[in-house]
Amino acid sequence: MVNAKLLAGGRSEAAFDEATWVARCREGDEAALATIIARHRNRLIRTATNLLRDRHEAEDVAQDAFLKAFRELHRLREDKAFPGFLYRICVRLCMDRLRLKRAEPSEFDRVQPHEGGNVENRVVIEKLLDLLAPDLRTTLVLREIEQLSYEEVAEAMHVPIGTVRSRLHTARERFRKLWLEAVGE
Amino acid sequence: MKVRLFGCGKFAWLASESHDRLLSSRERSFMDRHRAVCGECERAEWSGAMALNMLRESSMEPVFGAGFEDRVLRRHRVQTVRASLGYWSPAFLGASIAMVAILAGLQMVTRSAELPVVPAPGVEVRRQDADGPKFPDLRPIFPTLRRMQ
Repeated sequence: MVNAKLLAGGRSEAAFDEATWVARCREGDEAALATIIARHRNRLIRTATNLLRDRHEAEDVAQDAFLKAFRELHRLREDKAFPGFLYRICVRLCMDRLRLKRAEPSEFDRVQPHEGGNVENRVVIEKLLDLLAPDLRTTLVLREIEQLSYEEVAEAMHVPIGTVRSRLHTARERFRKLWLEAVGE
Repeated sequence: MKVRLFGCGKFAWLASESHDRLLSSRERSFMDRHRAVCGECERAEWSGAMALNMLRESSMEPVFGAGFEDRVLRRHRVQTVRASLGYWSPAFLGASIAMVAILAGLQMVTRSAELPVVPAPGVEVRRQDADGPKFPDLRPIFPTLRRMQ
C-alpha cells in the first residue's frame, strides 16, 4: 500500500516535471526540447523499429514524430498528456509508412518455406508481418512486442477497446496461419 | 479437411484471450473439455502460442546514431524559420506591391509635364477657354454664392 502510494506520488511528480518541460518547450527553450527528446527517444525508436522492422526508417520516423509534436504543441490541452500525444503521432506515422510500403510492389511476394531451420526466424517474422494489413500488424506488435495494455493500444491507435480486442484476435489467427504456411506444416 | 465442432469458435476466442488475461475456472474447464474432443483446436492453440513466442523473440532493440538530439533540434530550427517565413510572406508580398504602386504613382505625378504629348490621329482636341467658367454657373440659383464672392 505504502509502495503504491509512493509510486503514485512518484508518477505525479514525474508528470509535473514533464508538464514543466513541455511548458518550457512551448516558449521555444532549446534545452527543454533536448531534454524532452532525450527522455522519449528510446521508447519511440524501439516502437518504430518493431513496427517498421527497419532501424534507419525508424530513426527517421522518430525524428518526424518529435518535429510534428513540437509543431502541433499548441493543440495539446494538458502538458501532462505529452508522452501519449507524442507516442500517438509516432504510431500514426509508422502506420502511414506501412500503408505506403504495402502499396508498393514487394520484392518477395510470398514467404519462402522454412527449410530445415536454416532460415533465420527474424527474417521469416518480418516477411510474415509484411503480409498482415497495417492495422492488424500495428495492433499485434503493440500488444505482443511492446506489451501495451488494451487501453494503451486503443489510445495509441485512436480506436475503441472493442476494436483492439477484435483486431488482436484476427491478427493472431492470421499470423498463426501464415506462420504455419511458412514453416511448412 | 477440418470438421468444426460446436464451440470451436469460442475455443479460438478464449485461446486468444488467454494471452491477455487469466481465464475463469468455467472458461478453463470449457477449454479442457473441448481439447479432449477436438484435436484440431488443440493443435491450433499450440501453433498459435509458438507463432506468438517467435514474434516476441524477434523484438528488435533500438539503435540510433550519435547526435540524435542535435539532428532533431537542427531540423526543428529550420522548421521554425520556414514556418515564420510562411507566416509573414503574404504581408511582405502585399507591402512590396503597395510600395511599387506608390512609387509608380509618385513618378507619374512629378514627371507628368515631361511626358510627350502624342496627338491621336482623327481626334479633335479642344482647349477650354481660360476666362470661361470651369463649372456650371450656379450664382443665379444660390444668391449666397454672390455674397461670398
